[in-house]
Amino acid sequence: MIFCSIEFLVFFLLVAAAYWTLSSRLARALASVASAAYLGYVGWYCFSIAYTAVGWRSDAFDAAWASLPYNGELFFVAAVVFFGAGMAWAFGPQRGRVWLLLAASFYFYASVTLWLALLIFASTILDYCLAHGIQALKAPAWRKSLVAVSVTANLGLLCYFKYTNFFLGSLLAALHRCGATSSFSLLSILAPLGISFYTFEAINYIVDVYRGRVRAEGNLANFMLFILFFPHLIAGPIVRARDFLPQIRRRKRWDWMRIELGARFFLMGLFKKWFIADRMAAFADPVFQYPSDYSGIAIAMAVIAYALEIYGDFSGYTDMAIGTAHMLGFHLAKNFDMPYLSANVSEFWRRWHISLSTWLRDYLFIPLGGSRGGKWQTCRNLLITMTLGGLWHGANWTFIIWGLLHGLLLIGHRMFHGFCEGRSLWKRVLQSGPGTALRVLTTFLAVCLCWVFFRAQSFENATRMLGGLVRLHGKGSPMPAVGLLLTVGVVVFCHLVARRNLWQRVAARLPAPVLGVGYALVLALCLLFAPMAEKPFIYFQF
Amino acid sequence: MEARVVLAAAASSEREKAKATPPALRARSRHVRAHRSFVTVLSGLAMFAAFQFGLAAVVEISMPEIRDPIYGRRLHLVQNSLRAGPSKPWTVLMVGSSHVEWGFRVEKSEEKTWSEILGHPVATFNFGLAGSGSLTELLTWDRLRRDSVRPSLLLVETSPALLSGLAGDYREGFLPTHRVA
Repeated sequence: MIFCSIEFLVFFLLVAAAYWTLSSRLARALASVASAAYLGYVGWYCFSIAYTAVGWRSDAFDAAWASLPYNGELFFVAAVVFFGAGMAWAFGPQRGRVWLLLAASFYFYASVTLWLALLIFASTILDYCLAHGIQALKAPAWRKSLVAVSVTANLGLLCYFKYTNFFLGSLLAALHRCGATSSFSLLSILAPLGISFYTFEAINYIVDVYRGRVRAEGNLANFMLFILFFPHLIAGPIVRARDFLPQIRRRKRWDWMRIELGARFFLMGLFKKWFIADRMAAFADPVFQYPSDYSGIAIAMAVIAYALEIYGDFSGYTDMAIGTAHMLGFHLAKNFDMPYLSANVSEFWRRWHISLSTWLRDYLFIPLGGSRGGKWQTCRNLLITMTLGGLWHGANWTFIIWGLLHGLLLIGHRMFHGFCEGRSLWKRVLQSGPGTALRVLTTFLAVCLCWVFFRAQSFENATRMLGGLVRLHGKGSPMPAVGLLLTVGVVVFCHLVARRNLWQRVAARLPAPVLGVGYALVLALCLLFAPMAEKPFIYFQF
Repeated sequence: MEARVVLAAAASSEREKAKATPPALRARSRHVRAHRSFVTVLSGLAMFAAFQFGLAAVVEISMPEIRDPIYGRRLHLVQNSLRAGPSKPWTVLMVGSSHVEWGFRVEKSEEKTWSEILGHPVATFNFGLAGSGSLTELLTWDRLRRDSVRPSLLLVETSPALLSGLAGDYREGFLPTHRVA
C-alpha cells in the first residue's frame, strides 16, 4: 500500500474517521456496530459460499474473498476500527486512539508481508525491554553491554536482511576473479520494507536513553507506536524519540487548521510525486538502462531529470507522510529544505534528507570524534560517515561510491573554506550575487554527477553514463526536451515562490473559498498527470 | 551581528505583543483562523467533487474516447481515413490481443502486402488490445460498428487455447470496465 493509491485513501479515511470520533460515545458505538456488522457479514458471506452442501471448499472461500471490495482490505480495516473502538471502551478514548493507530500501523506494514511485520514487533519489544534495563541499571559496564546488545541486534537484523547477499555476492565475484570456485550461492532473502529507517529510530532511542536524554518509555503501546507509526514507517523521516514520544502522550483535539495544513502537505507531496518525479522517470529510466545508445546531450538531460525525479519522489513521500501525520495530530520534522539551492555540499546535506544527515552527525560523526581532532582526523571521520551513509542507502558498490564521493566533496569544501578564510577578496566575490549563483550551480552539477552512481545499476553502467556525457553521436532524449524544460521551469518557479515566502503572503490574503478551489485544481492537475501504472517510491528499496 | 540583534529584538517584541493580547482575543483569532481552514477544506472538497462530476459529464456526453484512449485514438484515425472522400483507400482492420498489437506491422503491410493482394491502395488499422480474448474482440467489433466503422476487410485473431479452455478461466480482469463504453 503506497500513499498515492486508492487503497491508502480508503484505509486512511476510515482510520482517521474512527480516530477522531472515538472521543464521542455515540460515534464510538456507531463505529463498533458498523465494523462488527461488516466483519460479521464478510465472515458469513465467505463461509457460506465455502461451506457448501458437499462440505468445506477452500478454493470457493478464496474466490469469495477475492470478490470482496479492495480484495478484502476493507475487512482488515474494519477489524482495526473494531479493535480501536474496543480499546477505547476499555481504556478511554485517548488510549483507544493509540491502540487504533498501532493496529492500523501494523496492518499497513503487514499488508506487504505478515511475518516481517511480526519480526519488527519482536525487535521493538526487545528494544523496549533493553531500554528499561539500561535505565534501571547503575553499573556503567552493564548499561554499555545492554546498549551493545540492542545495537548489535538491530544492526544484525539490518545486515542480515539487507547486506548478506551483497557481501556474499562480492565474495563470490572476488573468488571468481581469482579463478577459484565455490559451492555456496546467494540466499533467498526478502528485506522488510523500511528496515533501514526503523533500525535507526530504535538505535537513536536506545542511545538517548543511555545518554540520559530520554527516559525509557513506560508504556509498550506508546513505544511501539513511535517505531511503527505508519506515516514514517517505510521511508522516514527518521523521527527522534524525544520529539515523538511526548506527542503520543499529549491529548489530541480536532483542529481544522491542522487538517488544512496536512491536506496542503499531502497535496504538495502528490504534486511532487506525480507531476515531477514520475514524469522525469520517463526521461531518465531508458537512458540509465542503455547508456551506450544515447548521445551526450540525452545523457546530460537524463542526469538532470533523475536529480529532479529523486527530489520529487523522496521529498514528495516525506511531504505526504508529514501531511498524513498532521491530519492525525502529530508533527514530523522537516526532511527537505530546497536542497538544490544550496551554495555548497555541506549546506546541501543540511537541506537534503535532514533527518538522516542529523542522525549520522549525532550518532556516527560526533562519536567518531567529529571535527574536534586535527584536520586529517576530521577528513577521516567525514569519509567514514558518508561512506557508511552511502551503504545505508543500498547494498551495492554504487551506493558506497556515491557516499565516498560526497565525503570527498565535503572534504574539498572544507579545505576550500579554509583557503578562503584569510582572503577577503575571494570571500566577497563568492558571496556576491553572481558568486552565489555560481556556487549554487557548481554544487548542483557536482550533486548531479554523484547521482549517476546512485541511480546506475552497476559501476560499469555509471562509468558508461559519465563517459557518454561527451559523446556527440547516439540517440536523442527518449522524451521531447520541452517536457524537461517545462518541469525545470516549474521547479525553479516553486523554489522562488517558497524562498521569498510569497505563498504565505498570498495565501493569507486570499479568501478561503478561493484557496479551496486552488487546492482542488492542484489535485485535479495531479490526477491528470498521474501515471497510468503505479510507480513505487524510490526510497522504498532502502 | 547587527542584523542578529535587530532580529532578536523583533522576536522579543512579537512575544511581548502576544503576551499582551488578552486571552479572549487570542481565542477569537484562533477561532477565526480555524473557521477559515474549515471553509478552505470544505470548498476544496466541494470544488473537487464538482470538477469530477463535470469531467465525467463531459466525457460521457462529448468525449467518450477519453474513457479508453487507446481505442479512442485508433478510432479517430480510422474515422479520418473513412472520411477521405471518393478516392479513399480500402480499409483493412485487425482486432486481437497483444500479439496483434505488437505483431501486425501496419506500415509494412501497406507498402508490400495489402496493396499488392487487393490491387488497390489500402489503409490498415491495428486494433490489437493487450489482454484481449474472443470476448474483447467481439466487444471491440461491436464498438466499431456502433461508431459507424465499416472496414473493407476485417481480420480477427483467434487463439485456439482460448477456444478450447486451455488458457484458463475467463476472469473479470480481462474485461476492463472502461472498455464497455
